[in-house]
Amino acid sequence: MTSSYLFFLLVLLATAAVVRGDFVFTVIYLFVGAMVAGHWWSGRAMKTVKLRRVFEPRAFLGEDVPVRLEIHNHSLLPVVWVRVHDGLPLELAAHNTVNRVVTLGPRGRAHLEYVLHARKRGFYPIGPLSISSGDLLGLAAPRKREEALDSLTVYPLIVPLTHVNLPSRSPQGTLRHTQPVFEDPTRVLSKRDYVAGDSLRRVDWKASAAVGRLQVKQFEPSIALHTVIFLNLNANEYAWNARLDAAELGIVIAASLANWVTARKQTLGLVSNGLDPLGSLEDSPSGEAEAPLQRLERIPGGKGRGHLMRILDVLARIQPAESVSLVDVLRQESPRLPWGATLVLITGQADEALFDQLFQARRRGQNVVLVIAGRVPGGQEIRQRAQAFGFAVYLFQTESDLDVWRR
Amino acid sequence: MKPLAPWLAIFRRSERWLAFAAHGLVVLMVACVAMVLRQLVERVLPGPDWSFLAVAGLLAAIEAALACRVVRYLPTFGNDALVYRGVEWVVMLIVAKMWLELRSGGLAGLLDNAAQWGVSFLENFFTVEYGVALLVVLLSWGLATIFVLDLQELEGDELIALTRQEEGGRSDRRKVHQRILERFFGVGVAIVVLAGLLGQDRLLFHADTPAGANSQGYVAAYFVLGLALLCLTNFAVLRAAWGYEGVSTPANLTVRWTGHSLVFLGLLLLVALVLPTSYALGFLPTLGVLLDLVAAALLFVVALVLTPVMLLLGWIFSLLQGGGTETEPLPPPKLPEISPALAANGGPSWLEVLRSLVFWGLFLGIILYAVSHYARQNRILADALRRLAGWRWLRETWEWLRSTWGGWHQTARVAWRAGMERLRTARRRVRPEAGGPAGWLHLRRLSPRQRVLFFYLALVRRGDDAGLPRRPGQTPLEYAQSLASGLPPDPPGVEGDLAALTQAFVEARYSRHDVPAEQASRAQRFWERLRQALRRRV
Repeated sequence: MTSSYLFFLLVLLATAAVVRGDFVFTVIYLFVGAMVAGHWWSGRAMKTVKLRRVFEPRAFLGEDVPVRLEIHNHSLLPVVWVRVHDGLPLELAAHNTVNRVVTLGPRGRAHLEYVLHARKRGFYPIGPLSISSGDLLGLAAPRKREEALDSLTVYPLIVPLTHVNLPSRSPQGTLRHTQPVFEDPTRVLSKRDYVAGDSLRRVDWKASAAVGRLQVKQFEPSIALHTVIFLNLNANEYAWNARLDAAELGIVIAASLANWVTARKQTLGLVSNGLDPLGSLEDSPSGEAEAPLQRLERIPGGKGRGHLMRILDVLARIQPAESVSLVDVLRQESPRLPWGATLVLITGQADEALFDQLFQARRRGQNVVLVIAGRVPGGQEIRQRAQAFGFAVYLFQTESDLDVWRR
Repeated sequence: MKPLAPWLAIFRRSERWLAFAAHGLVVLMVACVAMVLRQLVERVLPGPDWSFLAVAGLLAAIEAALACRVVRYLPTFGNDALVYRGVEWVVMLIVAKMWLELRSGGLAGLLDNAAQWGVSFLENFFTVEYGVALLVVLLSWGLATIFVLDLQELEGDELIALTRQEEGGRSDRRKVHQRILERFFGVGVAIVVLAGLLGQDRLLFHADTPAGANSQGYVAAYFVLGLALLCLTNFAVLRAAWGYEGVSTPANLTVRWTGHSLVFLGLLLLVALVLPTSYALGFLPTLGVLLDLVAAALLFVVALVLTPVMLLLGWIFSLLQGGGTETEPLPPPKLPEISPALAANGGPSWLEVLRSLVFWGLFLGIILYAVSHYARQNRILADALRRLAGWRWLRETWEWLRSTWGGWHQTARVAWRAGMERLRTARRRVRPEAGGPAGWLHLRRLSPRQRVLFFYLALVRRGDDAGLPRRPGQTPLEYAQSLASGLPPDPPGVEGDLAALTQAFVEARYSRHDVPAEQASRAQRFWERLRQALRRRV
């Protein structure tokens, strides 16, 4: 378009040189002004129109996430037309794009709204958000600008658990225990008369002065539940015909357990061999690919709601992939964990090698709970072996099987 | 058939309006062309009254626009279309002849001439005047038809929506827009040449007749109308593309587009009329003047900087020489002057030089932009240019100039913002809570509670000046008693005023409820009377 415009412009210049008429220059100014002013105006519009996507970047399964696109013209010049295009993930929206044309006055604002439905767990890039605008005469191609991508994280389903029997031998926590070896000196249960052999450190002098006889403090036994969830998302260790469903069930179990442990203000960690789209599989700064065991998703032990959200973020994003086996993960990670920690292993199958590692973990003083997610052949045999080794095993084929932890 | 999308109603309304407007613009454009043709005919064939040619061209354009809408859905070379066109032309021929005859001789003249047609039809029917009129009508009709046919290709948004829903075909409207642009430019250049020739009296046949004065205005009008047409056709192209892609548009977009187009073109026309269209100085003299100005300005700046230094040195030398020798004072730095320029119209030199500068600047800018655009479009040429030794130097110099200018611009912007921020901070610091410069209190800006406190404290200060100071441990009521004992008996009621003002102060100072404005006004009256009394005491 501009080439023909320029051609005629040059012809006009030649005409002006030949006829030497003033009005020819007026026409030339019209030509040039239309092109230059139109070009400048549309370019300025692209610079001064700002876009912002406002929405909550995290949602739980089943929620509706309202998204608001704010378009603001920061200039005193109006913007005749600007086309806004936003790419949406098909899993969350009825249409895969939002397409609108808006017109903005000087310092004008406009907004578009749409809703995303958190129908499926995952990490979804939202966008790219792009705008395009052009001049009034159509002499130049419309200009386009793209904004950075945003993302929406949909957390996995969390089943509310109430009666989860996870064993622990970590002393001095906040959970009650029966064994007196775990007495917690910060939790005074009661007082009794002094008996020969009681330590003088246990004497409560104030109570003794009040009663007139020596009184000693009795402490309440307590334990800490230091839990580490090992989530196995190695695709090779799940039955091929139910791989996705079983892995999803495993993630739901992990999320539900994480919620339950955190609600009891206990320490929780997560280790998984799944694929996290936001990291883990990027090359190291040295330029070489990381070794498989270095690509594990690890979240060290922590407490509190913030820590839980961090774990849920990972569980929302993580996907099953062909990765390092659970046995190798356990072999590397278990020795680093403290004595008395509880290891909850969520996997799709249990073989001899795994049982050996679990036994080793028990010998290191760690408690083991094995959770099999999905249908697995030989479930009864697994139960028997686990009983023989002395650790709990749970077989969950569907989400409704989690009711055993809700009774 | 599925129901159409809600946004289609907007398309339908805007399409009708825009189609009407676009056709109207085409008709007016063709009328402008007809005006220029009329001027040409008047120059070539002076004598007859050719004033009707513009109206004939206008009517032919209207007829062409209407006819195109009638035959729109007929096959182009089908019987119906051919018959319609044939009849149309016959009617136009007859109407044109009737009109000419009626204009020249009225009904009687028409009947007389009609009798002659039977004798020698070709000679008597197709006169020179009639032939020229037919030519203008044909040209106008042809131009209007071509434009309207293109416009029709840009219509049909409702059909597009239906097509899209049924996943049918699509047309490339951008090419139609390009075609309209090229036709508009082509015709425009032709009439510019014609008008230019007419204006310069360069026709060979009638060089002594006066130049056509109005054709230039019609040429300018043609281009303004054409640019407006391009705005509308561009909108039609975009709207169709949005329709295909299911992009929803706001209901007021058509109005906004039209409004902005009108304002844009209006401003453009205004600027084009204001800018200089002639020059008093040639290109080289203008360049010389520009370089003179730049050199003079630089010298001025250098002189401005060196003058104090030279003065200081001169003073030092005079001291060293004992002060006996008189030195000539340094001439002050002079502002840059321009050399006297030819004043073409008797205007001031500065104005003529400025006009020439603007003119040549624009001219060069256009040339450079055209060349750079051409080079960008032709890669081979661009690569060859880049390999030239001088080109690299030019490019580096240009990059240096750009970066330097960018740096200065950024520095100036940062300095400006910092300066403004400092001013704002200083204003905020200086202004006390009651407003105004430091030390000044604006009573009107105080709340009623603050005004009551102010008047009481003023009373305490006046009392101190009058020799009745308040002791630090005194409560307001105790101070009121000691102050009352020192007040003069005149006027009566002064003690009551003191008690009332003290009471108002206690209430304003220690209560939590709002103090009404009336109380502040009463406190002011008490204070005025007490001030008078204390003044008499002093």
